[in-house]
Amino acid sequence: MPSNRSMARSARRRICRVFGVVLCATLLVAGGPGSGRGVSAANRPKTKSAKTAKPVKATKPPAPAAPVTTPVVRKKMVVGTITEPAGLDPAAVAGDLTGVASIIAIYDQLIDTPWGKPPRPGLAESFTESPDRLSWTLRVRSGVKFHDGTDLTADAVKFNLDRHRKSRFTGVAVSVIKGVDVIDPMTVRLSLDKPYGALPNLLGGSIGIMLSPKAIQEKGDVLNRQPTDAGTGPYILKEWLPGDRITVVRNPDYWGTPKPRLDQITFKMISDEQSRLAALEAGDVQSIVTQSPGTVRRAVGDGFVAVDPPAAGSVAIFFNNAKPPFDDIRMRRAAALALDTTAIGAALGDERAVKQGFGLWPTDNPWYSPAGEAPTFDRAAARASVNDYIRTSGLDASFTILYVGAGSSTLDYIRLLTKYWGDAGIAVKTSAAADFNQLLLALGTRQFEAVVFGVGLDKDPDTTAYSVLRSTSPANFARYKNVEMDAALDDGRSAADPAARKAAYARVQEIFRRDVPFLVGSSGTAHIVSAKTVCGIEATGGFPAKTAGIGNC
Amino acid sequence: MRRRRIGQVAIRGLTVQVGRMARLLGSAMAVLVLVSVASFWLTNLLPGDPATSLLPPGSPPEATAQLRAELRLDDPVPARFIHWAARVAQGDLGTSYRTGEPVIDVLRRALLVTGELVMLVQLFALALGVAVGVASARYAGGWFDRLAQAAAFGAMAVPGFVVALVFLLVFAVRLHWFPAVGFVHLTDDPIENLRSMVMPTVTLGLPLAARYARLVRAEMIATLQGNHILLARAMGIPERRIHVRHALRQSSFSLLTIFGLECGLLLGGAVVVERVFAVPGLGMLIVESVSRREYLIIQGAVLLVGTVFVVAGLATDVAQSLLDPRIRVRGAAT
Repeated sequence: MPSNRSMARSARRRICRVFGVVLCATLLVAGGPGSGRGVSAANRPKTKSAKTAKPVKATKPPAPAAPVTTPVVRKKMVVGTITEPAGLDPAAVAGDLTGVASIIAIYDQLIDTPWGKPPRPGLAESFTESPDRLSWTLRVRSGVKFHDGTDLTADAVKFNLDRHRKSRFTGVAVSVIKGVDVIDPMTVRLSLDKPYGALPNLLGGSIGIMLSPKAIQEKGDVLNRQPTDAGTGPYILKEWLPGDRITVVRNPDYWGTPKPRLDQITFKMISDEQSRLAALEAGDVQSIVTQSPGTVRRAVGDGFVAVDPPAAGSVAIFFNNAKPPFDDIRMRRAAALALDTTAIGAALGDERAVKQGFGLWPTDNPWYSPAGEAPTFDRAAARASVNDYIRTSGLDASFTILYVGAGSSTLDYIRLLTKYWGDAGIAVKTSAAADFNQLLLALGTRQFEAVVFGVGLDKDPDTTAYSVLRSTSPANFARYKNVEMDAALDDGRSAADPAARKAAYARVQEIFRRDVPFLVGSSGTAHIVSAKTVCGIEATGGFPAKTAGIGNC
Repeated sequence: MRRRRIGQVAIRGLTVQVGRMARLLGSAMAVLVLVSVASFWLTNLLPGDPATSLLPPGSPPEATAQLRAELRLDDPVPARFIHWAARVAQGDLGTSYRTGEPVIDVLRRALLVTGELVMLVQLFALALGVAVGVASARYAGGWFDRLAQAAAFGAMAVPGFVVALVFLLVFAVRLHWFPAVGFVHLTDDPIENLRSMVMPTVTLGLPLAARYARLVRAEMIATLQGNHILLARAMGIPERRIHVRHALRQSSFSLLTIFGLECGLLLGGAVVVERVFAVPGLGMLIVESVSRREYLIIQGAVLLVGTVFVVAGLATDVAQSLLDPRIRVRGAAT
């Protein structure tokens, strides 16, 4: 007869065995190759590594009576993003949010401004400039409802624009609008103090995003992180977990076309470049945003599809035009002449660096102009210019360049520039900023000689060119002053005729190439790489301008 | 008379214990205050401030000045610290400058993620480390011991991000066993939660398990040479029982101390693994908050991590005194 002790021991062993079996079973279930998450298994592309990928199957058969535009396959999609927006309230965040995927999914703008095409109606079904060019009349589209069920009216438009005018974050951008008057329930008039040809572009950005006045008033301070039901877009915000993800769900009553094709989109923040690519290859996300040409090449080689949008931003080297050595045009031109953009582009694997040249706009930008003599690589000329500067000024041809970013692409870029400048006789010291804030501080206080900083290339040239080149602009970091440039920028801003505007910006480009106030170099454009099963991503600046059209092929 | 004496001894013992706990709590509070002051001061040494971070580049100086005044950034650092500490004393950690979300909610969300990660890492590391350590001590000098020592050195020598990337490519991209990135909450889907935590857990747990194994092995070898072990063997007690019951218990005090410290370290120090696997934990929150100059979130996170360190230290002390009566006796004697 077994003793109590031996019985207890055998009972313990049994418990241990049961526990072991349960643990093994749990691990098998958790780690089993077939237990993909969400739609990842279905959307996994046929890559070299993903041999277990299954073909895409529609969850529902197509309904025979359904019209062609009716979405047939509704699924979930996960997009891997580099970062997340600073906030979701366009009036409470600095900068243009219309390049942010999650923002575009939940909101619409008054005017639609596609790249390289004339502005077209958005939430405003028409927009006309007055004969004296000092006001614009907007006819609000009827039948549009916010996600909270309230109607979009002229009062709502006035409410939103007045809110922007009072905002410390967007007030400067909207300062050209001096008054907003409601003419009738669906018509609003914007008054200007001088003609502004770029107004449609302004209303196609953050300023033109319309939020429900009811939601704004009800949510108060919470609006910036939970603008649920505040937008009019194809998707409705479900949740935002800052630092993690933004989830949006289909708006069944979306007013526009195409109708949203997916049930849900999750914008997952994956800040690490390798992890983002791995997530795409593993099928955890169906689309990623990347600024690395290397990532794009590798993903395309693995069977993914890349959309190459027009340059929406570039890396610029701002020279301090009010401080030696770059207060002298010879040194600025020498710095440009010393750089072989073709070789740099090849070394970085970034063909956009070549397209950009040293113009303000790259060759594939609608506002590109060949006007003016672009500084092309000429080391001997650069050396001569540097020697001339040293001889006549008695100063050293040396400067410190401040940059931020531990990323290998930034460092590679800086190393290449330093090498070329060194070969031309310019001594360069590099200084790594602790973070972006230090860079902003240096730019704000003008305590720098040269800084590597991004320049956003908006759809309309006025937005960027005016702010970084106009002598009176607070964002003229280079402290560049030129009355000719000011006049050309003013002409471009006020002209109504597209041809006249194009001519004005050709003049801007010409002066820019001559004076070289700063260098616009390697491109920092965001590319979109997706599984082959994802269709409907337009080649636009930033992530898909029209999220409604995205879905399974 | 005898009962009265026993009562007096018990009361004296209780008084000693209460006094000891009070001293520990007092020193813990002092540590938290010092950590808060230091982090507040250091944060303010960073270039730029929340106003420059929030406003668009090239904003008018008046707008910057107004925002700075609203955020009390013009006040002297000591005055701001006192203001912050007074609010913390009332349970208010402030709100995020960027989103307006209460800091306590931001921290709670990150702590849920990192807390689970730390718990799983410790479970994994303890299970593996103790088992390997005990077995190594038992077969010290044998092939298993040599193999285990080599593996432990390897696990400690390879940087965490390399292990993380290898796991990512093998188990997520090649085999599709686990998701490459992300975190699924336990309440949303327990199985997916487990799957999303396997690779971060193993990445962080392997070097920790190696440290535990080496510690347990060294302590066990020393303990197994004690006279009480010799006596146990002479009494014919089975070897397995000697190892587990007598040697391991005595050898676990150092392990307990390290365990407590590692809990605090992991809480804020898992940033590399959190970044690679896109786990929205406390480490990533601190890094992001520093770059965005979210002073109040940084302060709240530092206070939280400091509190966990202190609580873990206190818990370790209490656990050690429970496991080893000599500590209680020494405490009472002093």
